[in-house]
Amino acid sequence: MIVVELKGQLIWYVGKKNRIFFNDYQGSINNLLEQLHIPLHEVGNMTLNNKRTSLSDIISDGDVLVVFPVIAGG
Amino acid sequence: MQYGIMGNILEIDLTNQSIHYRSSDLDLFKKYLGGSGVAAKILIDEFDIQADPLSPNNPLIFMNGLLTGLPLPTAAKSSFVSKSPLTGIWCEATVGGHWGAQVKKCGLDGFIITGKSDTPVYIWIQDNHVEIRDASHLMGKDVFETSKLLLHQTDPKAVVACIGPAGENLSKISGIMIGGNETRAAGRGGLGAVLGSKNVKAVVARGTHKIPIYDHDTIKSDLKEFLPFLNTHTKALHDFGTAGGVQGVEANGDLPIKNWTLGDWADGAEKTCGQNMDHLGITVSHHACYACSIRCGKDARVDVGPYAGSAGHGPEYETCAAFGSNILNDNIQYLVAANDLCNRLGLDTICAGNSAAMAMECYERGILNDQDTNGLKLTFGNGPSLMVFIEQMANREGIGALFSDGVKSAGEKLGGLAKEFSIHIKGLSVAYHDPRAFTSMAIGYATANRGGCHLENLTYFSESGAFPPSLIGFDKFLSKHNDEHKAELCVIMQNFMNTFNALGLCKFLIRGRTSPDQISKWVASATGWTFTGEDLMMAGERLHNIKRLYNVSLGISRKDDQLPPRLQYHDRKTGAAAGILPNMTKLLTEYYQYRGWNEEGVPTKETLEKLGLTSEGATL
Repeated sequence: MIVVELKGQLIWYVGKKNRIFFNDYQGSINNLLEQLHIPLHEVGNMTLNNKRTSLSDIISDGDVLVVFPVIAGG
Repeated sequence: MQYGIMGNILEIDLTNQSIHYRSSDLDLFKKYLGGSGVAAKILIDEFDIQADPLSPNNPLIFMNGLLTGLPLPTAAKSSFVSKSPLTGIWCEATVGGHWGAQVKKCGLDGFIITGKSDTPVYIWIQDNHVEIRDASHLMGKDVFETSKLLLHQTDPKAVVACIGPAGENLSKISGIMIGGNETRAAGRGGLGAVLGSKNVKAVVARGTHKIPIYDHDTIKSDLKEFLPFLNTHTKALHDFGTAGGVQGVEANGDLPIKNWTLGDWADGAEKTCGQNMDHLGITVSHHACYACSIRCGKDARVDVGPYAGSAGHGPEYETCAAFGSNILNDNIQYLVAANDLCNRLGLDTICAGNSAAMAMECYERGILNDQDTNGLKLTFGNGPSLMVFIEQMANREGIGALFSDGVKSAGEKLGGLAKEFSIHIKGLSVAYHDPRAFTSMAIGYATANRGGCHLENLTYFSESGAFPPSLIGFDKFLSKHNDEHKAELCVIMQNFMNTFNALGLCKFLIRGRTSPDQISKWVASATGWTFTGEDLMMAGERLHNIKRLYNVSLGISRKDDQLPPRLQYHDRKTGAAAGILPNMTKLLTEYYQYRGWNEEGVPTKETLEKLGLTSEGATL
């Protein structure tokens, strides 16, 4: 199982859920976030299993992805 | 033929009630670009920098950016510049809306107001016709009423820049407010009081001149590709305004909470964000600044307080932090009403919010009691008391009078521990991005020329992933909580950001991954100048340094380039940035080296020579 933890205003894209669980997914973080309908230009820093990661990295069973939004206002 | 600029600057001497035009010096615009850049040069060359900020000798300079009013994305910004009555040093307060474009269409690159009128006046600029008119009937009226009356008395298509009661009462946290209830504010540094000290209630402009553009076709062709990209990347700003960022800021440990003491407030952030205002139907419509496709302005319905039932410009992110997290208020209705009240009274919400937070901490810790407040319960999160307190600050009444001139002044008057609760840099309340989260903000705040300003470096955009710094030639790895490379990033971003106020561009433009090369092409197309991205960045460095020279001549040095003790020495115990403190000694030392300043923070002779500022250095 993959755990995706969404921070800040990103929760509004997924019905205000902080955590999403995926079974049987293997592929890029990019594709996974697109499946969640999260605009990639709103995605800022991310960690995969507590290490900095990027959209092109591959995610698979057992991984924990934490996604922060960009801060771009005020 | 000159392109981009209009060629005239209006001079209004209120003491003598005289009005003159002078030609804009093209070389000045080439070197300082316009806006606050040209204004800095005029302020230094032509006026006594030792003048009391509220004396007739201190000018209020309004200057449009080089690109203001042109059909370029976000080219709506213009700058009010003066010596700040709040800080006693350099102040530029930049504002959007439709004001700058309207002044430019009067054939003006800017205007300079000097002296003092014996009686209250407003200034009416209609193309080439300028009048100083009686404003006694407007005194005491709020910003919305004043704007409405003045549109009726001049031209419904005019734009009004005015002060509210706060500016009339010379509150040093008062701003100059634009556009009535679509309020845009030249908020910071107390420039409302400068206008008030001159007995000027408002300036009203209506112009019909065309702005000459050198190569409009190239601009149009360039924007076909650029605008869709910008609009896609700013969709969240369009949908929810800057208030849409509250939760993300909180999630990063970047949100000031309870007068900058706490580290997390997720539930409160969810209640006080732009998405929730939209969800609850509090946001009722959108509006845009001139030439801007982002349309981040929101109108909000007011549900509580004396103006319940009305609607006006909704709270920006900064105001959500000011009257939300930083005073522990999660009641969105009081947050919206407090914002509306400040807009009406003409108060800077960043300063007003820091004042409220400090007052509440003083009250809860027993430094202020019920006798001091005349029974006003200034507890954290108390919305009704907040509303009273805001009115008191604007009117210099009750306990609010103690905070009418900002937190530094209040701390000095109260003395003792109260100074610890006074969160300012160089006298200006710190804007609401906590430098204990994205540590590049620590050195940015400490060295910002107008004091505790987040906009002079905006590096949290880069650290959070909203703007790739590689576009400005910085490609080093950044880790948000440590200090490595942060001073260098800050210097480069400060140089870039300095050009925006001078050009009249909104900083949200960088969400379109806008590079110096891209902007320089627009400058070249607008003016016909040969102008490169390198020229632009050099101009930005020059602008930061000329403002620093102004401040150095007023005694500013390394001793002043510091964070308030709470932000420098007190770490937070919870949240995403728990335990983080920026290393200011390292950051300052590296910053001065990158800047080419000496150890006290004074630009060296070599730096001034490189930037063409030798004569300014000698003058100051």
